[in-house]
Amino acid sequence: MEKNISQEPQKQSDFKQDFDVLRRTYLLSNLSTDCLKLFAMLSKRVVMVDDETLTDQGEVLDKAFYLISGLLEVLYQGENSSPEVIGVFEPGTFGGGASLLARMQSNFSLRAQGSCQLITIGRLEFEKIERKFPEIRQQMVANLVQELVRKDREMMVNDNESVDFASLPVSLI
Amino acid sequence: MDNTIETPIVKRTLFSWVRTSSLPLQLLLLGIIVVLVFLRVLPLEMQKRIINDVLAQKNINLLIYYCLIYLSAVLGASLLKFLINWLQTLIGQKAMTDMRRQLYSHILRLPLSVFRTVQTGSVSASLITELAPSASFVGMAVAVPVMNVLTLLAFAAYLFWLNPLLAVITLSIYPIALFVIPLVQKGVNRANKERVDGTRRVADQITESVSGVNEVHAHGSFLTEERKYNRLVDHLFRVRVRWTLYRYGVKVLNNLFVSLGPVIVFILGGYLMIIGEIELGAIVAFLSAQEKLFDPWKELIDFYQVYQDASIRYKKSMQMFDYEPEFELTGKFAQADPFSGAIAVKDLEFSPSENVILLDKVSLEIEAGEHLALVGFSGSGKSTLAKCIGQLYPYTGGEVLIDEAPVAVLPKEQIVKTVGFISQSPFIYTGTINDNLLYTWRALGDYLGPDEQTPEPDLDDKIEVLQQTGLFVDVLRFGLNSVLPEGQRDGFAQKILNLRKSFQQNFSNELSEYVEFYHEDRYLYHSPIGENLVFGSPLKSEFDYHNLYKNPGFLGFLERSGLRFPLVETGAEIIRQTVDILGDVPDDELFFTNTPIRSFEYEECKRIGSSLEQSSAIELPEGDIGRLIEISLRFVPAVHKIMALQPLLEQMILSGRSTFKKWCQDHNPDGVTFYDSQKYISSQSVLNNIFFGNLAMNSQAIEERVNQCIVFLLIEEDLLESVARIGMDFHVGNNGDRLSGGQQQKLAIARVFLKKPTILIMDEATSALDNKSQARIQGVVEKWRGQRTVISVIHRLDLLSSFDKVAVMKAGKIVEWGTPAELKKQKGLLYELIHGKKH
Repeated sequence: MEKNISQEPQKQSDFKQDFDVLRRTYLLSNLSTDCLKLFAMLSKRVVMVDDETLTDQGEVLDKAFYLISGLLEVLYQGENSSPEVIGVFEPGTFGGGASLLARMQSNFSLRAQGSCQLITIGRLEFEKIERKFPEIRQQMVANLVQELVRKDREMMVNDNESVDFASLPVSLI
Repeated sequence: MDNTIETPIVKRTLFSWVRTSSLPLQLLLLGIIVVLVFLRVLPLEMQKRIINDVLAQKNINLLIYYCLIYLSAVLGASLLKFLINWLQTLIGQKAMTDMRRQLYSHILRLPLSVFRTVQTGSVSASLITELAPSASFVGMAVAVPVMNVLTLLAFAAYLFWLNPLLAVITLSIYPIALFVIPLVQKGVNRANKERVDGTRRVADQITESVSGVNEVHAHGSFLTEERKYNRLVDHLFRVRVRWTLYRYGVKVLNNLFVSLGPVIVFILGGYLMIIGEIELGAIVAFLSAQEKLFDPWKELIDFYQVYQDASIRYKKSMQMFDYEPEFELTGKFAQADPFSGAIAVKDLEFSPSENVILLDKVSLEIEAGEHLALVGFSGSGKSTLAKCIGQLYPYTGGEVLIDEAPVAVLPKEQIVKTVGFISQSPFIYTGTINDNLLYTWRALGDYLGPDEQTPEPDLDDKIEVLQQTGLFVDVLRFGLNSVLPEGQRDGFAQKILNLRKSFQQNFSNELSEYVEFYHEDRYLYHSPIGENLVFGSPLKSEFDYHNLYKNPGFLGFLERSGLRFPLVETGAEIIRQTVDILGDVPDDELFFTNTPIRSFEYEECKRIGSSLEQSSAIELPEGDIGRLIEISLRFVPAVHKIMALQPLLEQMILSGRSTFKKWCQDHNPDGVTFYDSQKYISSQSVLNNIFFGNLAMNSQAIEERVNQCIVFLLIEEDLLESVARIGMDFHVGNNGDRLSGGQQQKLAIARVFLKKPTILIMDEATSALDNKSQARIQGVVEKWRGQRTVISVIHRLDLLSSFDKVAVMKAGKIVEWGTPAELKKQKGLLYELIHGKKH
């Protein structure tokens, strides 16, 4: 007996979930649907184990990320001192957007605190998408600038005690 | 004792090999030749007697008697000729084997500088190709000339006996041939010399291109290399044509001279018979005998050509390697006891050629057990100094003393026993890790007397050096990734099954996020649908997950089990989604990482996608339906994010698993090893058998975490050594190409550590390793301070503090010398090396 699976209630694919997540990020929010589909298609679901690093201080950061679950520590190591946790990213954080637009060295290390799950978009993937949609760079730069202004304003409005230190690293925006 | 044995091989003449080849065999050969010559002449006499006596007397009995003698002589001659050929081959091959052995042994001992001019291709060509004709010559050097000269003389004597006048005139042709043929042969020889050189250049070019094939691929210099090769091959073509023409010229001339003989016999012999001076039988015998002169003569001319060819090739081969080894191999120099390891370098100079000075009056002194770092800019002479101390380069001035003994005159034996040298680009030999690990230890054993021999390092010794160099983890991985052959599985398989159980009991919760264990009732989200259905390891290619869609039996099974339609629908949905998302993307594999469709299939899928807008999937042509099934069998829910695996399909596949197993066991019992938690999977690695599952994703950190858990269990179950032993049997490939550069360097370090040398010389020995591995090895070496002398050429200046002395070199001289602390205070060149140039 043959069954038609298309008549069954449909489970949502990771693609659709990632698409929904990415279109809500400041960097990709106003891109065309076709372009966003490609971002969702080329993004990767990554599981990190406790202590695993997404990037190390001084290394080239070559991906943007969205933290689905778990915690991601931001570490900074000054000269002649050991690495220090200066903040913790929580689920829902989007970061590393600037690294897609230009080659940049990370000023911080990002380390998983326990297990965590992320969506990542690599710069290589972005460049492939950019070849098909050349206009997106300009849109994304504009989005980035707006986000910087928004963050700036947010910092100015808040008093020092309520500043979220995890959001301080501007280069990780 | 024969003097030729003591003469270096490159000084030996070709004929000396004839003298030293097997004497009893040569004597036997000569005896057989004498009998053969008699048997060759005998039929001629029988022939004459039959014509003159038997035919005249019409005597049947006599006819049969002579014919039997004739037949016996012919049969006997054939048999003896075969025997002669066999003996010639035996003598020749034995000589060639001796030549190859001795020349190879000589080549290995030649100074390293020789190999800067002689290429590998030339060495191979000389040893394998060019020596072969020399061996043929040695084999025939006695037999052929003796046999053929005797035969010629016998036939000539017979001709004289028949008619002296006719014989003189007929044989007068041969001296003329003997004068003309060598003239043409000179042309053959000239061309042959060019051919030998040309063949070597071609062999060198092949060796160079193949050795540097990485560069060829990296730079795409295929046409450049082809042009170089083609130029040489074209030249060789022209030389070979000329060589062949000359060779045939010799043969044609020879044939011409020989063919003139019968004409003379007809003219002169006919005249003599007409005037009654000679009988008909004698003329017939004369003609036969004269014809038979041709064979020995031809063989002599062939032999002459073989000699000329062999002589040229032999001389060329020996000339190429006509150098003296720089050091005595064995023997003791003064020092009876083992060296303590103190080293003194006094006014050392090394100048490999005129106007090139690599070391200029270098002096230093270190006590036994002290550690010396050689630092400096590139080209400052650090490695050269290390090589001179290790006797790899013969210095040209001053001296290096090990415990007062000059290195220049120390036999290799004492250097091998005392020094361990690790070079920057070590060579890894074809074989296993274990073979390479024992390489230096085995070499050392060749120099030890029966009372000095030590037992082979045991597994613990090997594991110790592997751990010291950081290679142990790799060896364990090799062991874990090995598929055990049947003989090795006995007993071990059950231990692995126990380990599998422990692994799941102990770590299934901890690793649940990263690992998907095989379980008959659970779907594998990180595996393709094909693997989920088969749920086993394919033993035949038709059951490989990638080939299932081509297997008619399997397709029939899908139809009968009701899975065909859902899979076709799944394939159609994958195509719809992929085409919708990707649209007109370029043909780039990157866009297709999250879909089971491959980039090269995309155009076809777009066409199928268009058809799907008009009709349902099941109405498509059979070919397209096949493609849909193929794509859906490749679908991995956890990877191919474009769509989710629907619960109903998941359920159907799980049900289909047992149906497939039954179908397969009925129709193709040897097709698949099904996953069974109680059974060892013979076609899979040790790791997969313990792990019995999939990693949730390709992440090095996750893999490491799983490996840590497995190693923990291996230690607990006392199986670590067994797996390490399996890992040590890992074949490293041609020149170690199955190992990474770092692994090769670690292995080279481990094999020297295993030898436990009194003096350890490390010539940038850790340059291919990451910082952590370098620090680990330096940590091990540091512990030997006061026990073993260490000389280390280093670039990582942060490691300097673990050395007793530092020599800073520049332009072949030591410009700073002292302890690391002293030199850092001086703020001289070392300071500049550490902190950069002062502005």
